[in-house]
Amino acid sequence: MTIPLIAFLFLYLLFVFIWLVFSLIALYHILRYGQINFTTWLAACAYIAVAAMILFFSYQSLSPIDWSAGLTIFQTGADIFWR
Amino acid sequence: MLEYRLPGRLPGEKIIKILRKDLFVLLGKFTLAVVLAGLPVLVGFIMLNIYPNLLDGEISYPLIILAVSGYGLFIWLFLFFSFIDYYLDVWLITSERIIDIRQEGFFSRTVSELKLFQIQDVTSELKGFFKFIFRYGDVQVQTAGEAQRFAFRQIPHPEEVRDIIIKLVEQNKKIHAA
Repeated sequence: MTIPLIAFLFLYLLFVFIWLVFSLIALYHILRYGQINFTTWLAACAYIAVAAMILFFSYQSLSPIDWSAGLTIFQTGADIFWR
Repeated sequence: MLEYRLPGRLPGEKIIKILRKDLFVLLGKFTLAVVLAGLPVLVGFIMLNIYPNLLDGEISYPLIILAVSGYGLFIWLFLFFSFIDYYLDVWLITSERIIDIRQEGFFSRTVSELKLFQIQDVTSELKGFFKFIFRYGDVQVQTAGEAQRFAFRQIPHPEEVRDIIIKLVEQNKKIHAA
C-alpha cells in the first residue's frame, strides 16, 4: 500500500489551520482581556514573531521537495527484500 | 498608576493592587515546555546515530520536517497558552472591592467580586516547602454568613496582601458607617 507524500502535507496543513484558529483565540484573549501595558503587546508580538519564524523555516525546508513520491507501507513477503 | 480594564468601575474607585500567581508557578510550566521542546532534539540525535542517512531520504526528510514543524507550533502554542493562563488569572484589590478574574481554558472566563465592607475575616496561608521558601501562598477572604470563601491562590507574599486587605476593609467600614 502506498500513501502519497502529499497526503502528509495536507494533514500538516489541516493541523496548521487548527493551530491558527487556537492562536487567534489566544491572541484575542490576551489583547481583549490583558492589562493595558507593554507586557501584553510584547507577549502578543513575540508569539506572532516566533510562530512566523517556525512557519517560514518550515516553508523554506519544504518548498524544494518533490511531493509526487509515495510512502510504501505493509510490504509483505519478498517485497521487503526486493525493494 | 496601575491600569486595568476594571469591570464595572465604581465612581472614585482606585486600583490598589493587581495580583497574579507567583512567577514560580509560571516557571514550572515554562520548564515543562522547555523539556517537551528538547525531546525531539534528543530523539533526533538518537535516531541519527542509528540511521545516519535519515535526513537524506526522499520520504523521511519531508516527514521529519513536517513532524518537527507541527510539534514546534504545538509547543509554542502550549507555552503561549500557559502564559495567558497565568497572565489573565488576576485578583484586583481596589479601594471599594476585591475582584477575582479567572481564565479557565480557551472558552471560559469567570469574574466575581466582593465588596470590602462585606469582608469579615482574612487568612493567609504558606503551606509546603516551596511555598515557604519562595514566599508564595493563599489568602482566604470570608464574608459574614457565607460558607464559601473568596480565595487568592498561589500569590506572592500573602501576608502582605492580607495586611493590605485588612487595612482597606477597616477604612471602608468607617466610610460606610459614617
